[in-house]
Amino acid sequence: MTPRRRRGMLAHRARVIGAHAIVTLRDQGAYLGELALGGAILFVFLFVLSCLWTATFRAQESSLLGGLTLVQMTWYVTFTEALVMSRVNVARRIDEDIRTGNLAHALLRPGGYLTARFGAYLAERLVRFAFSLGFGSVVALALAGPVVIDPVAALGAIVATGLAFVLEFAIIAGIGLGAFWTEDTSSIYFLYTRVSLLLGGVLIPIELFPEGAAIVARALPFAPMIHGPARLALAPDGTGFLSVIASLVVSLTVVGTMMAVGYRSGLERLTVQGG
Amino acid sequence: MQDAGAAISVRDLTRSFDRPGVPGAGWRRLLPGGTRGAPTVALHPVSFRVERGERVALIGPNGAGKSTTIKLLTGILHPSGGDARVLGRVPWRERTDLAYDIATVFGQKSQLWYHLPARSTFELLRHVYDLDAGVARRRVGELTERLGLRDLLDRPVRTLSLGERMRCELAAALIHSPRLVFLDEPTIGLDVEARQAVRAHVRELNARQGTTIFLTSHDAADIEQVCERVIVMQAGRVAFDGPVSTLRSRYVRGRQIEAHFLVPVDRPVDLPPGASLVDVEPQRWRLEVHEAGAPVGPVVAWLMACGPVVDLTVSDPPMEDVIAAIYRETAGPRVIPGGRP
Ligand SMILES: Nc1ncnc2c1ncn2[C@@H]1O[C@H](COP(=O)(O)OP(=O)(O)OP(=O)(O)O)[C@@H](O)[C@H]1O
Ligand SMILES: [Mg+2]
Repeated sequence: MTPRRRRGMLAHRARVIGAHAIVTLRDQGAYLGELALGGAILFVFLFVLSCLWTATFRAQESSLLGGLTLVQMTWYVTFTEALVMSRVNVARRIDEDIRTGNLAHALLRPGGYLTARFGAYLAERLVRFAFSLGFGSVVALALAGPVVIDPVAALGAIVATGLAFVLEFAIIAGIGLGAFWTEDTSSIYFLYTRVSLLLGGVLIPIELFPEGAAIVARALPFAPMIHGPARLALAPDGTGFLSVIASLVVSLTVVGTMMAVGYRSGLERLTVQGG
Repeated sequence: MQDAGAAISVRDLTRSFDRPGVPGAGWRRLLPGGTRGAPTVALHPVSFRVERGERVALIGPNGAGKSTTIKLLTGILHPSGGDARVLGRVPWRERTDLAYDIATVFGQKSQLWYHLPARSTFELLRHVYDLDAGVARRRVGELTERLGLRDLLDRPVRTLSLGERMRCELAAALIHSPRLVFLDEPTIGLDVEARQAVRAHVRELNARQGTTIFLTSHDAADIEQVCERVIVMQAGRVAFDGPVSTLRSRYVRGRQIEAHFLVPVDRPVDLPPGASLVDVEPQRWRLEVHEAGAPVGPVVAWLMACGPVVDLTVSDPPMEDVIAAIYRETAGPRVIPGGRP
């Protein structure tokens, strides 16, 4: 008899995620170079943004914009940039797997294809995020000085960041799964990154958006993923936590369902029509 | 219900591609890349049965439907019709459960992490197949021993030669002790020695653990040295199914006799019945005896009478030729009587 231990499906999935995360961490060569380049870009971005915000605060003759001081604003963009720069282009990998037939081969092993991809994504994302946030913090400290962070607010921000990472996986993986139907998913991914740059509040907090734009931004999942955690971290306490978490959970339910349905019908396309 | 005791049982399995009206394909036909045009029939009704512990080769010219058959039997493709059981399961309905009991080795695809030592992939697969640490450690030890991986496991896979990598690849595929192994062209691109190593390991796997072997290959030696039975596919149909030994007698109706003479001998005027001359040099004649099983003795005696024979060889045509002959003969109306050109 095959010497295996069949656990509950969730326990097995968790194990598969963990195993892929670990092997991805070991395989650092795959993205460490890219990370170093990202550090240089981050430095330039933060420097420019900090100059722009300094000029803006001076022009407005105000010490608070959107509820943030100049120091806090510099840290805000540091957080949002760290979130954005840690993004992993899973869409490209899934797209390739579909086109090269690797997906069909992955189906020959248990554990689930997307589960494996999620494990790898999570590991890479966390490494990139830790690096971007660490390096960004040094830059922010040099440019603007220290910032006071409330521990409860920090905890809220960490939870929101975790949820945001899961949500963004569902979105980006969903884009990659588009390869079942369309020739070009890379332009959809590109579009996604641009829209999230605009509507996520990466450069400017949502509070400073014109009213119409702010309503749109709050209704879409981009802001809760980027503005949400960054703004939470700089809040004086846990206020705003529940509304950010609620939008993330709602988005995750909607996007997650869409992705799952897309994956199922994509697989059907693969197995019924032949990849 | 089909017999659950067989490793593989296939009945009237068919598969076409791009068939309009495939379930669920409806509106998608309107999209770019959607289904269009007349269907290609990759498999006409195909039936066969493989017992547990058998070693079977599936051969056939390009496009015969071998890979399609493997995809159906591993559950990554749905059939257009018919029925199949693999280890008692319907593959396309129970793909995930089946995955724990079968293994697949593709000569052209690697499942090892390229920049990491093979050991890391083994560790990953241990979790994927939900094995206990102790079980996995014993299994890796065993495979290391048998496949000679001791010095390979801790080197990044990219630094291994193709043959060394293939051995690690085999180990990775076998880590969960599968009961049935599908190999799709496992020796492609390997040198002679590495090919022989792979064949030996596959045979040993079968001998030691009774693992069922189902392989496709274009290399005649893979078939001869690994398998006891061969299924020949031709344009989506089973053209032959039987022991490798019968393959020769069934499709090649001739054996060759080569005689070397001490001195030049004149070209013969008459030939014994059933024999024909293939090639004549003054000191070397090559004859062919038609019809398998036709007695070679009288021909040899006749040769001895023709002149002073110093050396004599009687041989079957090489497997390569046999396969080529089968492909020609089963391809359709262009059959040459007698089976040889
Ligand atoms: N996804 C697909 N869409 C359309 N036609 C396909 C598809 N897959 C296979 N076919 C067709 O089905 C037939 C059988 O293909 P298959 O890949 O099974 O052949 P094969 O015996 O493995 O050949 P080879 O020796 O070249 O690997 C071929 O005519 C092929 O063009
Ligand atoms: Mg093939």
